[in-house]
Amino acid sequence: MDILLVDDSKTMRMLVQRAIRQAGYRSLSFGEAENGVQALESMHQEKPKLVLSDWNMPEMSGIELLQSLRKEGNKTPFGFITSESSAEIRDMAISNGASFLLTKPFNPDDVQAALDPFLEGC
Amino acid sequence: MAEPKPFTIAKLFTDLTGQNVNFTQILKAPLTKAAQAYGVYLIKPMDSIRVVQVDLPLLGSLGGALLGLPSQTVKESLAAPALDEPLRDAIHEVLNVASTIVSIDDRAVFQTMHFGVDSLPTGVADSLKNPAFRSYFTVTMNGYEGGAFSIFAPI
Repeated sequence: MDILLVDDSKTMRMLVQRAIRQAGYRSLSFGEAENGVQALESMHQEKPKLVLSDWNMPEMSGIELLQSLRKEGNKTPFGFITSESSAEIRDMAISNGASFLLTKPFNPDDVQAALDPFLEGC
Repeated sequence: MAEPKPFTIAKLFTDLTGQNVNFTQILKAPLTKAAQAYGVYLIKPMDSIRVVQVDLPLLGSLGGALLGLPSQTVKESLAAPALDEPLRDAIHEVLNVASTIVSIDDRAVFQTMHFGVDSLPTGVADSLKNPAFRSYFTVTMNGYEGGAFSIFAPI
C-alpha cells in the first residue's frame, strides 16, 4: 500500500483516488479506512508512504489519528483533505505534525502540488 | 452575521461537481413542492446550530454529479422507495462540503443529514419557522434538475 485514505465517505475516498490518478500517479496502490480507529489498525500492519485523512469522522477524528500515530513514534507523512479551512484548524494540523491541509473541493492540480514532495519517483 | 455570497456558493459546488452550478439569491422563501432534505451544522465556538434546507432533487443532482451519474439515473434513484447507498453517501458528502459556506465568520461542523422536516431533531424544525437569520437561493445546474437552497440560523 502506497497511500492510506481515511474518510468516512466512500464517495470522497473514490474522488481522492481519482484525483491522484489524474494528477499523474497511476501506479500507486491504496488502502482505505472509514475512521481513525480503522486507520490505526491498518497502520500497525502496513507502512504506506503517505496518509491522507479527513478531519471530522466518527469513532476517531483525523487529528486524533495523527496525534496517536506521532505518540507511537510513527513519522509517516500525513496530510489532511477536509472541508475544514480555518486558520485555527490549519495551525492545529501543522503543529501536530501534518505536512499539509488540502481543502475540499480540490482538483488534480491541488493534489499534485500537495503530494509531489512525498511521492517523488512514484 | 456575514451572509454567504451566491457567487461563493456557486463556485464551491461548481468546483465540487465539475458541473456549472448557479446560485441566485431571492428575498422570499422559495415556493417549492419538492421533497426536502436538511443538513444540520454545529457552529463553533459558540455551539449554535445552523440548518441548510435543500430541494431533494437538487441535492440529488449535486450528489449524482459528484458520482458522475447522469441526470435520469439520479431521478430514478430519488423516485425509488429507498435511496441507494452510493447516492446517499454522495449527498452526505455534498452537505459536508457545504459547511465551508454555511458560516463565513465561524467554523461550521456538519453534524447530521435528514430527509423530511419531521426527521429533524426536536426543536430545530420549530425554530426554522422564525429564524434569526435566513438566506434563500434558487439554483440551476447544467444538465441536471435545480431547485431551492436555503440557510437558516435558528433562534
